[in-house]
Amino acid sequence: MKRLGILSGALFILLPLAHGASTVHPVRAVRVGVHLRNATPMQVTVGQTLTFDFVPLSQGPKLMSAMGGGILNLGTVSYYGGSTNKGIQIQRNDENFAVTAPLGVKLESGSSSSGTASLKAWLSMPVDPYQVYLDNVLLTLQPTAIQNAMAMGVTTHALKIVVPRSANGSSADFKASISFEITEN
Amino acid sequence: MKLQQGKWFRRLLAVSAGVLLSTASAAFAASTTSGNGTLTVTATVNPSISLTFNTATGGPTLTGAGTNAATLNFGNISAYGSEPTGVSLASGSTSSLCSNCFVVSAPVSIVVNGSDVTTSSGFSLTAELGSADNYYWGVNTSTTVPSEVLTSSAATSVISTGTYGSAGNTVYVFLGVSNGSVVTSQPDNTIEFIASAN
Repeated sequence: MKRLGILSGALFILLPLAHGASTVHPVRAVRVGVHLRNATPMQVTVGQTLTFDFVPLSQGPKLMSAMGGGILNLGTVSYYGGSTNKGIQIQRNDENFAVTAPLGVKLESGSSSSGTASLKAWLSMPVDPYQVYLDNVLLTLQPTAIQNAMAMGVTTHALKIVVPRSANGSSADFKASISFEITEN
Repeated sequence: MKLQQGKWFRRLLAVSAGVLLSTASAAFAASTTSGNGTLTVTATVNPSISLTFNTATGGPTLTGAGTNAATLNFGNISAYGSEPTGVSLASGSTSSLCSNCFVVSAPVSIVVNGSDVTTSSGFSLTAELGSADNYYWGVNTSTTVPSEVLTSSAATSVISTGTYGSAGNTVYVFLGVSNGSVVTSQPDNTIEFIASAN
């Protein structure tokens, strides 16, 4: 009776501790009384760390990155003049032109290097009259699934900005803030 | 009675522990691992224009038509013979370009397209000779002999308000050859046209 009380108390203390730990702890099945005697042993993974970073690519434009944040400057782009920055492709259409840049993303999981993660992305603010695509998926202000099983490690993605041909006769500054969310599968 | 209380207490504890464990395992199951990032993307979109040469209606066929590096071949020209198709011998005074010379001209079409420019404002067009030679070169928007000889030291204004679009802008290239001299080298030069958005 007393032992059972201590065991229950210990559960209250140990469970929060296990949840906050940073390493993987297999939690053994705990037998409490007769009702749990036949409980299936459970193994849960807790407190994993999943890191997400932008990485510069040798064939891509300059990228500044730190702690999951990044700044990608595409430089000057124009319909006929193209881009002087490395790795940027310009595709001319009748009404607009598309600026495509490779984007390196690095995923690391504390537990393994073989898992996958799902990727969502969205715009933090409207970018009208431009359109922003990631891996050919149009980004909006709502989180949008980009990939459902992204591999760990460095992967290359295509960031495309569609620029309308206007008649304002002046340079225009483009700025977009893209939020990313990854969830380990 | 005491025994019954103990039994009740044990049952209560067992149920509590069961509830606790199932809640805990549910909490574990729901705790997915995730990460976040934010990327700021910047760019400057500049206006731009393009210039290409096309064969003009009634003019000689250009080599490299549709590009920005075409070749205009006048063919065999002479002061008194007949000129090739598309090439005209200037009549009247040619003194504004050269004196004691004969002048031929041929039209070419210059197509200028713009993006992110104010197309209604048009564009200006200048021409500059690649290198000095023994001939007299000129450019005009009509068959009238131009008043200015092209040089390789400064650009000459050709059009002040050109029209964007595939219809093109016809300009005439003039070539003046001095009379009374023996031609030792055939005319072969380049003219650089530069279009600038107004």
